[in-house]
Amino acid sequence: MKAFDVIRRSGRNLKSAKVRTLLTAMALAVGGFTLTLTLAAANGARAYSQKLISANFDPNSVIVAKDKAIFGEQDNSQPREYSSDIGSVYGSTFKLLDSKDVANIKAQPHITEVSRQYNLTALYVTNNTGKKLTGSLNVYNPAQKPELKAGQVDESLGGGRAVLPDVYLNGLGYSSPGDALNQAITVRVAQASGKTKDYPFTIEAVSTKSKLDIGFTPVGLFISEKDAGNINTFVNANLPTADRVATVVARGDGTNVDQIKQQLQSAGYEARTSKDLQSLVDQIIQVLQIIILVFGFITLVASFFGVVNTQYISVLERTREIGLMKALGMRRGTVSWLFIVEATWIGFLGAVLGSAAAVAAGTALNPFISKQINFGDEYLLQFQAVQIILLIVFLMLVTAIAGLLPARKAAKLDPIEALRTE
Amino acid sequence: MIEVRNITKTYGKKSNTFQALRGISFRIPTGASVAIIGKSGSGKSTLMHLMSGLDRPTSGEILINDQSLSGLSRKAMDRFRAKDLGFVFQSFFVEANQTCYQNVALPLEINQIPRGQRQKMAEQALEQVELFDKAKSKARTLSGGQKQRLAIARAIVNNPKILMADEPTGNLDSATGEKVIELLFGLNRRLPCTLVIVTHDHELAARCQYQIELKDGIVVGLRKPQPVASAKPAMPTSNGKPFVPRPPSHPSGRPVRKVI
Repeated sequence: MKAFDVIRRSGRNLKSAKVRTLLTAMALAVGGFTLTLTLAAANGARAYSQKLISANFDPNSVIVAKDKAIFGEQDNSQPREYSSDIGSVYGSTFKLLDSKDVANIKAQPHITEVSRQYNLTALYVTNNTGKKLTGSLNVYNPAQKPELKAGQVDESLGGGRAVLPDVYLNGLGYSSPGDALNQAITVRVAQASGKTKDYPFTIEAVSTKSKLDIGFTPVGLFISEKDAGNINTFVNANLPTADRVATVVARGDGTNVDQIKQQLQSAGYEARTSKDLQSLVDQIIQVLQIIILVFGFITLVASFFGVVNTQYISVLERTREIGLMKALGMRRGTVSWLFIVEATWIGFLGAVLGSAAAVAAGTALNPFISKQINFGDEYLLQFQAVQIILLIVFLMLVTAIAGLLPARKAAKLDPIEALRTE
Repeated sequence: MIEVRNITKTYGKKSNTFQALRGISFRIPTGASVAIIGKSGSGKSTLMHLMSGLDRPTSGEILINDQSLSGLSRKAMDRFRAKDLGFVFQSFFVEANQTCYQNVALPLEINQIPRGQRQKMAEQALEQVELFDKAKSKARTLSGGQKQRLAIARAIVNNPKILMADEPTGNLDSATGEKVIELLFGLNRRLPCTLVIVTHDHELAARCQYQIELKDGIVVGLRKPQPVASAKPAMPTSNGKPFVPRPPSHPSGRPVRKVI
């Protein structure tokens, strides 16, 4: 029997048992549905993280630190041996970079600019309304520009100029972002001893939290690196760690960042490119994806046995037909193929049903999901035709394997027994 | 020529054996009509299974045109059944959910006949049994007599050299059964093919040229043809018109192949 005839005949056999075929296919469809959605969600999450990283971090820059633990790649729960370069940032203890390190990094070839990432907190921010609001002070980093609602910032922020996040507008009594431009504000900072100092700033621009902002930087004003340095010197005066920072951002001149990274690593620093940050996020996505995939596979195991069962019943039901086909000279192998292909048809049907339902449901729900998890204009579920086709082929393969045992039973059937009429 | 040489068939093992056939021999020339008669349990079905290669004898030999069946591999045996044999069963065994055309096309698919030729051959077979207009009907809509005629169309579609019929009229009323018998004998003469009918009906057996009567696994009566075979005039058909026999050429137009 020719392959085409086998495929056609086995498809026709399924048609004569529509309800049973459909129900078995439905069990498979559940697995196909889960797997399709999982793959689509991982696609979306990966695309989203890629966008996040590229929106938050300049691909030409590298983050440099002295301590691996800053990147979360080292267990920091154990106490560590003291060395003079250890300090505390964000409540954890890390080896920090001092002025000598910064100068050293700056001296490396292909690095045009190094900006310190100070960790500063203002006592409060105020203006002529007398209202006092808390906040942190972040270095305005051209490589990591915030999204602006009003005003404009050229290549870098000038001394005494600040970018105010729009969440301060109401509290400081500005009716609109434009209203706040060029207005004066005062930032008060304090030393550990309690001594305070006021720094005046003029609002250069009003920023808004981008939907793609990961939230690496705490809510607060953006000021120039120089101003931040001055404030840092005042706040940490007399402390041995006064000139130290956990990380600096080194901007490359456009040469391959991996090369710059290599260079810094061999100079004894830890460096991470935007790609490294990306892979860190991707790793988390991958772990989540694997967890859901496992559940998808568990439903597949259940439907695998469903297909075995259905095919066994099909063989029993068609004992006489099988006997007749063998009496008519059909080869054992062909009988076997008829049933394997029949099982594969079920797999095809289930996979197509499941993935079609997943695409339909996903497309319909995407706007809602994006709104719920604050995804902006991005869609979480991104379907890829190639993935879906591969999934369908995979499910067909699984059901073909499920059909092996019943097919063997059919092939071994004795035609004389099968054709006995009593 | 079908030659059966001293065959025995034993079922079961050791103390629990049952000897269905105990030494049977006969010869049937090509194109003859043969009846294998006997009561239930006489071994006639077993004999048919052995002659069709569905089962192998415990001892002895069956030769079809001087070719021993026991010398055939499983593949060659399947090929022999697919190309040279046609089967008609008491319970028809037509696929109720398939159309008449699909039922008849099954042996052609097994034989890997090209699709273009397939349709012509299937239509001719359906025409032979006067079911051409039912080609697209589901087999379940047919009456018992029509189902048996469909089964006959399926049995002859490959232009077999041997047509085996196991109690072909057992499930039919006598008028319908008579029509089926006429059809079988007509095909036996027209195709031509060797017709082997397994039956317990002596009246039907008497119409065959050869009669082999079995009892408890041995031949108790063997009748060979009388010099004059009755030549019937025109066969009555279901639509009342006289039947016009076809020339004995292969339905596909190919030359008739010798048995094996």
